[in-house]
Amino acid sequence: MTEHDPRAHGAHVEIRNITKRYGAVVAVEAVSLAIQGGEFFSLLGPSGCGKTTTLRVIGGFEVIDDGDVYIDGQAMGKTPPNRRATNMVFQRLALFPHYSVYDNVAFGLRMQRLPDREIRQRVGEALDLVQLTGLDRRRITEISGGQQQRVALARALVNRPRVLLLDEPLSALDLKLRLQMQEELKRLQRELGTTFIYVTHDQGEALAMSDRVGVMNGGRLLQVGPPLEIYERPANRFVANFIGDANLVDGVVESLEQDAIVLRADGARVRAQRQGWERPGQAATVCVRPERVHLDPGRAGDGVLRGRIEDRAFSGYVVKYRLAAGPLRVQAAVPYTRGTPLYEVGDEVGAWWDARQAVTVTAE
Amino acid sequence: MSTPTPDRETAIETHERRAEALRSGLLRTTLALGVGFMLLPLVIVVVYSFSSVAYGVFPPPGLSWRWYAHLFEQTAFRGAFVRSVVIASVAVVISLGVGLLCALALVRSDFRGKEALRGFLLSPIVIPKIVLGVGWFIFFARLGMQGGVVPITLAHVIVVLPFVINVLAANLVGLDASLEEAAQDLGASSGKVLWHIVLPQIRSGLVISALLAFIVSFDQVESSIFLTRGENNTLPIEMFLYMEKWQDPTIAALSALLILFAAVMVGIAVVASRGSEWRRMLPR
Amino acid sequence: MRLTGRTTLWLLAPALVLMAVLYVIPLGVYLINGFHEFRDGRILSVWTLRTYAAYFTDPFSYRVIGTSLRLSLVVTLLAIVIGYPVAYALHTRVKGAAAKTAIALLLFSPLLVSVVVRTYGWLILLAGQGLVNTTLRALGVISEPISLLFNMRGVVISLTHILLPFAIFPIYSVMGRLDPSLKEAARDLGAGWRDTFLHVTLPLTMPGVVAGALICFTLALSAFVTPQLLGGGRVQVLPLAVYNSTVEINWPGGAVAGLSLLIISMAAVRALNALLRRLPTA
Repeated sequence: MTEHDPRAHGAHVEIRNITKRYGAVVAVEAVSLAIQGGEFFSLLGPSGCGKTTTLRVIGGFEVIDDGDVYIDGQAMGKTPPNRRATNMVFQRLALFPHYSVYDNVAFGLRMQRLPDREIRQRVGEALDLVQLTGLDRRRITEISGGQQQRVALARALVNRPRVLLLDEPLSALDLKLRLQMQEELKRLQRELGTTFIYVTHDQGEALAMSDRVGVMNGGRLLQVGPPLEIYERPANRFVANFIGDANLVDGVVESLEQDAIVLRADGARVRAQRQGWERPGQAATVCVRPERVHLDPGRAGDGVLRGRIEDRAFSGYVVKYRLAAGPLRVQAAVPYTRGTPLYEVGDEVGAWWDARQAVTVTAE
Repeated sequence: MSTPTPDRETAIETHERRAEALRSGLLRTTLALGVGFMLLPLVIVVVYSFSSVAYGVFPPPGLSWRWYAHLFEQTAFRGAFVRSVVIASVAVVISLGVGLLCALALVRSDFRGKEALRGFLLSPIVIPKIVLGVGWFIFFARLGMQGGVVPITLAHVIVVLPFVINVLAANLVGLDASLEEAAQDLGASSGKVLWHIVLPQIRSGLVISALLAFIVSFDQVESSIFLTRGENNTLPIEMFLYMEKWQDPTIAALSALLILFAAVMVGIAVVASRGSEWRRMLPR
Repeated sequence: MRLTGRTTLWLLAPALVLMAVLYVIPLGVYLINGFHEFRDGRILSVWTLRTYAAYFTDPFSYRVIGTSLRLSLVVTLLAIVIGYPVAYALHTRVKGAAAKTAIALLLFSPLLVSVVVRTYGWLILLAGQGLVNTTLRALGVISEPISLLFNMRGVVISLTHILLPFAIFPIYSVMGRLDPSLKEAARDLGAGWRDTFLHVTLPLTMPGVVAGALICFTLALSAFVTPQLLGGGRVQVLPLAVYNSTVEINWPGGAVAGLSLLIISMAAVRALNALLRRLPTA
């Protein structure tokens, strides 16, 4: 391995067609995924979607019913966790309560039967890395939640894993500390070049930290891509709803234009960017983000939804409106600076968007 | 970082898998032996109750009902059984009432010295029963209360009360106090809150503490042995004294019936409460 | 529902009255007898320390205390050494909550039956031609029946059986409360089964071991039925000394023996509780 290329250290992880059942319940169904060496990859989804199980499969904590995991091309099969080049940061941290900070971090190195001198040096470095210098003699119960978080990180990283698995490690922290730790994880990952596989149900966290995100639901992997792509082109209804806010308009494809499709929905016609699979007469859903919806009292006609303001909420730099256009409900988030005209509840306005700012998604 | 060679890795894994299989086998055997060890004396008692001979030889040379017939001729055992059931039942009722109030106070109230008080109330568990037994003997003798079932029953209340308090307090701690506050907020008096909100939630705790108290009371020997004088023996004392003199399988026949009795009681308790609550009835 | 001080007092009153009258006073009356003297077959109601002096100068007292301590230690040790692997096997090798509960119930079921019945079972099992001797001879372990009854061996075997559930239960319950990800973390950090057990499971289940030892030791110390029925007069322990003195109407002597039983028992409880508090909990 070359010292200068940080990517050289992180292992390439490939999951092929893994399935895990608990009795009749399918926790993970035929999931395949390839994660590059040195990538920061997040598995995102609601609780019970199978993301933690997938992570535990990679770590070797679950016996799978089908498929296999390959780390740098090598099939893992039933290799136990203690023989994999992975280390895990557990959701509830799982720090050993009967050990000091130092002994916790040193545990993995002692298991490798390394000489004491090397252990001392590497534990010291690891504690420096997570900015816990000088706390090594403390008991686990004597340090704060944020510090425990860092000990858990140091305990995993000190073994120089080629893949670091993180199971919602920040969920117990308060918002401010969480944001701080997000930045720090990002920094550590850049410096070490280790492959990070990060499980979270917090879409903001996943989007902010990851090179790529995999969205899971009901045991299946729905979409994989860079954060921006997932936000801009959600593959289906679930992803559109789970990542950010979305207006979803169901209807039937009426006609195709050059780059856009025209959708007929409850008497209104709306446009969205053409993805390629649409055919006239087909059922489809148009997804448009609230901040891309424009409101204009004077606008009417093709592609404009006319309706009355039903609700208004001010939230700092944007004003959120909900518009009732016949049976449809449209959310719009309008940027606010001093002087921006405000609409009142009951005002009649037209809502429209640029067809290039909306996409069609499959109904599922 | 060097990649371990696949062959070597596999060898280690094979070794580990074999070690794990061996370990599993050993542990399962240990568990089976443990269960066997625990049940062995009960099983042998049932077997010997059908023995055709009076002496303890294995295996018994033949089978017969003679010890059951002999048992039913011994009216003393019948009287002692009824006495034990009555004493245990009354002790259960008293200790449940007193213990429930006490547990409520310990869980739903904070006061200075609470932990010391709890320690005092639970202390009869760890006091050697023979010490308590002699204490009650002298105490009731001084009061002139000798014979009958009243002194024994009172003694049993003290013996079982800490178990009842312990189980009920553990149950009450698990309750959400805001339910009671909600009921009060909706206009319920303290008594109504206790009856409609608290008791239904600790039903299984009440069943289990009653069962535990019954079993403990039913098993008292040294705490009660000086309070009996022949005509008012409880069943375990009657058996104990019989065994000091005779060791024929009459006791086995009686024991077999008591095992059946315990099994029926457990069956009732399992029906009356959820299975998982069983863990609470064992001392902590 | 928060209770007021007045309500609390009313709720506690029945228990406090019962405990005062039926617990504190009888114990006090009993222990006060130690300051009287038993001479020529009757109790002299004089205030004296002679009973204490006699007790603590009699070598027999120390033999009894020694036997009591030895029996309790051996039985406690056996119960823990057998109980730990049984609890561990039940915790790790039985899948499913229903199966676990069923096996736990089987292990604890002897507690539902009187200790007299269980002791009787051992009387049959340990007899010269009983199951244990017959089996051992059939296996060729022994050629002549060994004497297991009416001596220390029988009492130890039977008491271990009686106390085993009290060792298994606290250990098993601590194992159940242990966060399973602690073991996983050890595995993840490269520990095999042995290291995981020695460095994580065993130290973190020590509170269960100590709690079990505490229950077993105090129960063994105050055991009465088993040494009386299976000891054949050769296992003279403190509860038997108290019993025999009382039967001989020597209340003062019984009171002093009882007090030493009480003190040893309390000291054991205190010592093991202190140890328990120092142990880390997961």
